[in-house]
Amino acid sequence: MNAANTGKEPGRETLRRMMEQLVLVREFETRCEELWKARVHMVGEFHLSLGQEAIAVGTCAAIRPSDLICPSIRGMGVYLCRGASLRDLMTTFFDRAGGIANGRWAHWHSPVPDAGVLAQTGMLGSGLVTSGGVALSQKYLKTGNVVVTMLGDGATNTGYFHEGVNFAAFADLPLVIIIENNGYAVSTPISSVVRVKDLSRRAEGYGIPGITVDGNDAIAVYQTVDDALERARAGGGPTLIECKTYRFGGSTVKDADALRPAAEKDAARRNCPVQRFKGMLSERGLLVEDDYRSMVKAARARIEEAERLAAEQPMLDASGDPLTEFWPYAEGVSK
Amino acid sequence: MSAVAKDIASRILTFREALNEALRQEMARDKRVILLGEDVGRKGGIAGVSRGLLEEFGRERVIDTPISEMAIAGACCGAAMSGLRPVGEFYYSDMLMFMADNIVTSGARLKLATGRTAPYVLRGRDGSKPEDGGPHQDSYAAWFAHIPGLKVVMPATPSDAKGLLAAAIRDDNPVIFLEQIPLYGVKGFVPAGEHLVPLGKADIKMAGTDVTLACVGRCVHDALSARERWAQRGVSIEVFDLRSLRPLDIDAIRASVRKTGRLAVMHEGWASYGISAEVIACVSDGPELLLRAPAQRVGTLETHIPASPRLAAACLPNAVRLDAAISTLVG
Repeated sequence: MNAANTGKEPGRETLRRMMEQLVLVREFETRCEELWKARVHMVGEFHLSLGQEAIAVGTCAAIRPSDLICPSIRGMGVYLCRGASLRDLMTTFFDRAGGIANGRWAHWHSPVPDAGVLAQTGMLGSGLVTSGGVALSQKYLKTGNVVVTMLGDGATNTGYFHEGVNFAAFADLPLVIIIENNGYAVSTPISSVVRVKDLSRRAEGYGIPGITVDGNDAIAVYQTVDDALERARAGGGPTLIECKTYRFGGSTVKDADALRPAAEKDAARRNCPVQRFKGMLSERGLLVEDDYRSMVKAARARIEEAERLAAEQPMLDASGDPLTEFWPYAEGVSK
Repeated sequence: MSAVAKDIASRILTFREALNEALRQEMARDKRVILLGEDVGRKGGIAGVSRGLLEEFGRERVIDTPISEMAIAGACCGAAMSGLRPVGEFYYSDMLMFMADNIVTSGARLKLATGRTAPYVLRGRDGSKPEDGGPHQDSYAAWFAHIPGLKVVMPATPSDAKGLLAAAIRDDNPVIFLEQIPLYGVKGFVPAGEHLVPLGKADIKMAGTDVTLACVGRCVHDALSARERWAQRGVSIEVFDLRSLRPLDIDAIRASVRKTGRLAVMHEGWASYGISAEVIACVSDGPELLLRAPAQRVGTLETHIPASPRLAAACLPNAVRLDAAISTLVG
């Protein structure tokens, strides 16, 4: 049941915003990597999405502000495209007070309610089943919102994935499931541990539409997601979208990435989603080199300012009573 | 350097290397031993414990699996039921929750159904990550130590790591083998050749007369530091490494407390219904009254560990809370 891609093309303004976002994600994560490698105090693990930016950008351009999204562990692009504050992200990376997580939750799993970004955990596939519940309440409460949930290729081999997709299918949930297939679960090639070439084919087994799309083509991602969103909003249930891509670096910044073939990595650099998008816009006459340069400059200025502001925040204060500060129960009862 | 000193120096291994040696020696010794888990082969394991084993023993015996913890646990149980002695790896203790059903309702209770047990080991990283913080900092040792039919082990030194892992692989029961993250780089003398540390046998790491400080995993090292601090104040602490949480070496614990009359227990994981609860209960419900002061528990505070390493340190068992517990005992 591989559905045809009938989604609409993004408009000119959207295309321009997508270019800006591609640049922002690229610049922001490149800076994170630099800071981490320079041993600037950065807490947590960084699962960078460099090379995969078109998936977050295309998806976030297609969804409405009131829709909800649960990113994968490689989800920085989603945070940025949904408008999470750069300063707040940096504040959390620097282990300072406030920020998106205030030291409580891992920054790469943190919810950002104002940006419609749902919390997730490091338990792969768990975001999918929780997103199913969020989609259930959207349907029940008739909000008209759709939930988008993202996960890597590795997570599709968990029990959570199979239960989660079938549950969404049976309950006709307004859920769009996006697999960011970068070909590797840490060091393990996905092709060595599954016997289907396209992970979207798994949709067939659950009776829902499954589509494989070039994940480095932000426009194709946009169209495919747009189509799935429309179907979900109209009561047509979930769609499984596989976006094929490749990460430029290791699984995390710490990963030496010694096992992936150099030729493969070089090919991925040549298939850069940012440069491809830039080329497409130039061909259409929507972008000139100067526009692009000013976008890069603007992104860098924003990042620099975010770093400066974040560094001004006080360090997290561990002197309080942890049992009061982190008490895990709600007070009182619901009225 | 004398020949003997050189020999000893060459046997100073990290905790990680000691575990690797145990796997290598057991695989060489027994063809039934196989490894399976995420990234155990090409990458040599997420913590580097199985480095070189794919090259040495081949793909039939070192299997890179998909991210499928339920299937890994089930495959270990099933293979163990049918002639193999598998060692499965999990990324973090959190993943034991995916595996839990198979471990508890299949592995642990197999003897009831079949009259036989399944000899397999599930091993992986456990507990706090003082450098990185983030998710996956819990220790679920007590969850599994709660289950009859399972053995649960947590070494603190390279020597014990090797000896306990080899013994776990040879054990005829399912064993949960927990490797606390800060320990992988810890160095120590490790005997060459066959080295077995029996499961269920505790070890007094440093003897003392005033306080029994029972501990396990990385907390053993915190206890050793505390022992030095308190020696300067004239308090003699016995550092009692539980090593196995099930079976628990109750006789040895009682013998230690019989000597000191005072007991503190330090471990990662929550104290409620936890390791310290069990240790103290075992000391209290014996035939003799052994305690001269109320026993003290130092576990993870009864909340969830925040991602920030700074905030996490305040919630985890630490020197401040350990010293407070010892003060209460000797005050």
